[in-house]
Amino acid sequence: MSSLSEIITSSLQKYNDRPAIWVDDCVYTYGDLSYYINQIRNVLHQQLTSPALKGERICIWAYRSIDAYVGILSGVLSGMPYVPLNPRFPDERNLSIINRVRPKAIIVDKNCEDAASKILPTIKFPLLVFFPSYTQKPKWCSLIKQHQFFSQEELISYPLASISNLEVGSVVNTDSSDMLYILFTSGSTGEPKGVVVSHGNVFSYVNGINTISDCHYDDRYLQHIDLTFDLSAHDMYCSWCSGASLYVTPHNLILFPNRFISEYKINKCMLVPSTAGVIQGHNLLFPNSMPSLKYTFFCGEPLTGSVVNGWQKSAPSSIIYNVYGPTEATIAFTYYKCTGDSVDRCLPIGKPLINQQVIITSSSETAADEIGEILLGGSQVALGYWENEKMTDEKFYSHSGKRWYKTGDLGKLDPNSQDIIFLGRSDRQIKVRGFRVELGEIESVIRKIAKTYFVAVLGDSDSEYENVLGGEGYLNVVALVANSQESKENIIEECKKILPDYMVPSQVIFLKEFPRNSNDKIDYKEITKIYYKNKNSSSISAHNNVI
Amino acid sequence: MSLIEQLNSIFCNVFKNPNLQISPETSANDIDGWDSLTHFKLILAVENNFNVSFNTRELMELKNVGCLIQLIETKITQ
Repeated sequence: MSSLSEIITSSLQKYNDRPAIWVDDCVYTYGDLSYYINQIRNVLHQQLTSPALKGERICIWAYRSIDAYVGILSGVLSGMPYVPLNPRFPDERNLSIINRVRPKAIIVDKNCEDAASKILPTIKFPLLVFFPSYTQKPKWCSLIKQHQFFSQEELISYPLASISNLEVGSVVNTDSSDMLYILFTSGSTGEPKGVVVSHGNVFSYVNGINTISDCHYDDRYLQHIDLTFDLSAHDMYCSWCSGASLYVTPHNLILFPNRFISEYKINKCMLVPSTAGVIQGHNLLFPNSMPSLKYTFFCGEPLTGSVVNGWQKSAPSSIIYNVYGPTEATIAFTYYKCTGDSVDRCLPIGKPLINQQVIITSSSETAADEIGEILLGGSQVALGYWENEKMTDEKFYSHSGKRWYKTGDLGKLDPNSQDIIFLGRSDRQIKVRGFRVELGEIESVIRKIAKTYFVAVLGDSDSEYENVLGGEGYLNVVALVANSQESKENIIEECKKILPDYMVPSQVIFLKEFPRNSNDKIDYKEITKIYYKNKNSSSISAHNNVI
Repeated sequence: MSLIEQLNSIFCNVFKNPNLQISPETSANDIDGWDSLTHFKLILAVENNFNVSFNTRELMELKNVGCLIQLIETKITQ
């Protein structure tokens, strides 16, 4: 089989009676999935007329529910790229994504209906709105004339199209370069940017992961990470391509993955290191408490030896990989096999997955351990940024028959092992609880709210977790502001309306004056020094520069 | 001290807000800063304080403070 949709379709047929998804305490078989997917595809194909629907976007406004996965698979098998939204995002951010991708269809579940009821009336272009879990559509739908709404009843009773078009096994022909999903990540200019990933990108990724881990239909994958973060695609596609099952962590168990893994006998998981770090910080990684776990993938942040050692004791049968890769290179691009006696430092990110290539810009034969920018090349490199040709051209290029992405990450090669060592960012991007955050985006938002240029945002963590988080991993952000008449409380409240929760500053600190460098620009190094020096000496407010 | 008073004191500590007043109807939507990290700290503090342990199914079913009180009462009497 040569395409992602063909493999998934094969799983839907072959594993018809086997469990595909555990979510909200219910198990859905691959047969159940096929039934629900076909209901939506039946409407999509008739309303949008195949093959005109190919390339049209479908938004997923559903959170940790069966509707989310049915919506995603309906898109995948119809050649429609899906765009996840997130109820943890403010309405304004979800609306901005919808307006930018102009979808033809949208899936809404009970966790997101409230926000949808406010936002859908403001969208002028017509949408097909699906409520797959609603027996009847919500009453507010009748007030909106520009969209068509479909409840479960209406999906079931919708006239069937020519069955040949919808049989499980018939998918819209997809090329490897067709868009699979668009994920919006933090953008330094203040606007999130949409990374467009293709069917071929994920197909290559799954092949790469298969070469370093055994995949079997008996596997139970933990689906722990939100759909708006591309690590979630690892669990979905590795699982669906092998006929395995996906176990979706309930939202109020996000920091209890160890208990969930243990009780539901999960054997494969992808986590961000800070999740394990927080659990470890509370001494909750008990010996052999996750005996079922066979593979753990840590990604999204620097991984410390201390976290690996703690996790390995708790999951003694697990192989632990430190994997690395930006959304632009599809989930993860390099891997490093960790050992349970890792030294307590940030671990290497290893070597590229099969058929992918990494270059460190300044490396040469004479200076093998020179620091440079990490460049990623191969079939996992994404198509580019949604409707942003300029930025796509800046960050992506073709060379030697391969597509390349300039990560902006710094690294060097270990001259002995040839493993790549990650050394941080060349710009002001950080990771907060694994989420990629451009500090410039938050600053841009606060500058508008606080009506001042003098804003600096920094990564921050509770001191109790500092020893288990890697050098670039943070739990919160803090904002330092000068020359503003706005109150701290108002700045935070306004940020909540615009930014996802992990980008809202946990505190705002007013400075009397802002340190500037010799070019009269904001001196971030000095501000960072002021913050940390005073944070560690009991109170930031002790500093004479703080109002 | 009643169970809800003990819980109130735990909430005040976890959310670093000495003026916090909870009721059985209080849920995550009512308290500023109730995110995954504070939820985690809250559950651990409750488990430690009452010397109980919750499984994932019990944690999944917690919708508000009232559910938490019921769960603690059930655990204590077991």
